[in-house]
Amino acid sequence: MKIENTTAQMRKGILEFCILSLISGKDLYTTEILDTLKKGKMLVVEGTIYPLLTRLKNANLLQYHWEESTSGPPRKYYSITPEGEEFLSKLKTVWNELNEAVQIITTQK
Amino acid sequence: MNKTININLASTFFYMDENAYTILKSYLNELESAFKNTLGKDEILQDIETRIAELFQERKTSSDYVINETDVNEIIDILGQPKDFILEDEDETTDTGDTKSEKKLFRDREDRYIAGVASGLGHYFGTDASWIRLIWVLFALFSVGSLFLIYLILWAIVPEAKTTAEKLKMKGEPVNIDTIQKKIKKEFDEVSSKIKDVDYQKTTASLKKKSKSFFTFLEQLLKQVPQVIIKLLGLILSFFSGVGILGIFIGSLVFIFFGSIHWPIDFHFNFFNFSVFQSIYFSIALFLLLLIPFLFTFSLGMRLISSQSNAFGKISRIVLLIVWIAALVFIIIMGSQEIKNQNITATKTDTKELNIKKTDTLFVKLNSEFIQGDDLSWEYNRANRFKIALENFSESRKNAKINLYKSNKSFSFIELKYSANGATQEKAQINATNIDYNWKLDKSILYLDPLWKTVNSTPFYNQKININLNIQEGQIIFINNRSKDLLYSILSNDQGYSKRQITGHYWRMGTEKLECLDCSSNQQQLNIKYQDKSGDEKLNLNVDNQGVTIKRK
Repeated sequence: MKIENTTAQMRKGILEFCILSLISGKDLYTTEILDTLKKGKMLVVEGTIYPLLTRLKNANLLQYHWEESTSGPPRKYYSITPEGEEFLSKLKTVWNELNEAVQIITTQK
Repeated sequence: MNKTININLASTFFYMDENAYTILKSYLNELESAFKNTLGKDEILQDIETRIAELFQERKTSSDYVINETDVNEIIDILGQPKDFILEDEDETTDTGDTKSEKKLFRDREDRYIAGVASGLGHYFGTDASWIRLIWVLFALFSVGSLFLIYLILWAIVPEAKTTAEKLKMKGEPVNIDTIQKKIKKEFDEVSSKIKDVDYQKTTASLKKKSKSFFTFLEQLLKQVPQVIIKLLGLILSFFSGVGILGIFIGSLVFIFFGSIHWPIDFHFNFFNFSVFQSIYFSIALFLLLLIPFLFTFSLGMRLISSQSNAFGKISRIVLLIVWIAALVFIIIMGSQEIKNQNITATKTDTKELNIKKTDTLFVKLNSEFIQGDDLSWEYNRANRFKIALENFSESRKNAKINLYKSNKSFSFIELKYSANGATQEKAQINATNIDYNWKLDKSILYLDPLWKTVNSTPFYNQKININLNIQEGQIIFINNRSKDLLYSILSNDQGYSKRQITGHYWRMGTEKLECLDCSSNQQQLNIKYQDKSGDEKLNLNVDNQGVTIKRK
C-alpha cells in the first residue's frame, strides 16, 4: 500500500470540505481559493483544484459568476448554493466526529 | 534565433517564444487527453487556461514581455502534471460508453519488414503478424505482380500509427487515461504534438507522403547495393590475401626445413642455381617483398568489410612500406650484383684414363669412400636435414652429373668438367677451380662422389660438375642402382630403356648403342641345331642363363 495513495485520498475528501467552507464565508475566485489552500499546505499542485471545483459546481453545491479584472483575464467568482450549505454542515458534523474519533484513537496507546 | 508567437489565452494576448509555445501546447494536449472522459472537461480546461493566463500576467513585467521556456516550465510545476491529480478523476470518469474504441487499421512501423503493413493487418484481425506475412508469401507465389501492387496500395493508403492514440486504436485498446498515460510516459513529446492533428492535415498529404517514403526506401535500397558489393569484394580480397600470407609462411617453412631436398636431376631448377639464393638475407628480403603486399591487401579487404577495422596504424603502415621498399632495393642490388657475378662461365676439363682391362666389367658405384657410411647424405633425420638446409645457405654442395658416352679413343677415360660463373674470367676460373670433387678407381670399381662442394665456402656461382664416362667399344659397364638420380646424358641402348632404367644391368659398349647383356628380351643364347640330310632335326644344343639343354632325336 502506498502512502501517497492514502494521503491523496484523504486529501481529496478533506479538500472538498475545505473548499466549501472557504467559499461559504464569502465569494471567492479560483486564485484566492488556491492561495489560501496553498498557505494551509492543503495543495501540492494547483491543477488538482480545477476538476474538484467543476465537480462541486456540477453537483449544484457551488455556483459562479464572472467578474472583470483590472489585471488580467476575467475572474470566475464562486459562491455556495443552499444545497452546498447543507452539504457543508453535514460534512462539518462528520469531520468533527471523525476528528474526535481519530484524536481519541490515535492518542490512546 | 527563436520565433515569437502571439497567443490568446483566456481572452488575453501574450507573446511567447516558439519553444515555450510547444511545451505549453503539449501540456494542454496532455491535460486534454487526461480529462478526456471527465465530466465537464471543457470547463476544467478553460479554468486551467485562465489560471495559466493569470500566472503569465504575473510574469509579464512589460507589455512586450515574451514568455519563455522557463516561465512555462515553472507554471507547469505550479499546476502539476496530470498524473499528480489523476486520483481525483478515478471515480469520475464516465468510462462506459466510449472507452471501447473501435479498431482502426494502421501500419505498425515498430514491427515491420518493409512498411509495417502485415503487422498492422495482424493487429486489425487480432492475429500474429507472422500469419499475415505467411499469407503474403503464399499469395505472392500465386499472384506474382498483383500482390506487389496491393502491398503498395495498402502502404500508400493505410496511415502509419504514429501517435499513442493511433497505436492504441491499432490494437483496439481503449483510448483512456490509463492506457494513454502508460504510453505517454514513453512517448510524451510525440503524442502531445500529434494527438490533435490525427485526422485532417494528414489524409490529404498522406498519399504524396507515402509514395515519397517509398522512393526514399528504394533509394536506400539502391544505396546499399554498392555497399554489399564492396563488402563482398573486401571478403574476397581478405580471403585471398589471407591464403597468400599463409602460403608464404608455409612455403618459407618448407624452404627452411626441406631446402636441402635434392631435386631429381631431370627436374632442373636453374633458377635456384644462383648464389643469391644461398644468402639468408636475400631470402628474408624476398620473404618480406612477397609478404607485405599481401598484408596490405588483407588489411584493405578487412577495411572494406568493416570501416572500423584498422589492422595497421598509420605508423606501422609507413614502417611496412619502408621495409618493403628496402627489401625491393636490396633485391635489385643483389640481383644486379648477381647478374654481374654470373657474367662469364669458365670450364675446366680434367681427363684421366681409366686403367681397366677391356675384358673386365667396369662397376660404377657412388661414394661410400668419401662420405661417411655406406649411404647418401639425404637419408638423414629431420634435425640434420635442418642443419643441412642452413648450411646450404653458406656452403654450396650440389649433385654431380654423370654422362655416359662412347670413347672416341682406343681406351676408356673419365672426363671431369668443372664449370662456374664469375664476374670476370679470372673469378670464374677461381670459382671453377674451387670445386672440390672426389672420385677414385679401385681395380675395376669406379667410385664417384654424388656431391661436389666448394672449397673456401665460395657462394654458388652456378657451379657444375659433369662426369663424362667415355667407354671404349666392347667394354662392359655396370652402374649400380644408387647412381640413378645422377645420370644425366646417357648413350642410347638397344632396349630403348630410359636413362634411369639402365642401372642394375650389364651393358656392353657396342658400335653405336649400349647392348644389354642380361635383359630378359635380349638374353645371350647359343643354339646349335644339327640336321641330317633329310632335314630332320637330330640334335638341338641350347645354352642360356637357364643352363645347357641338349635334345636328341
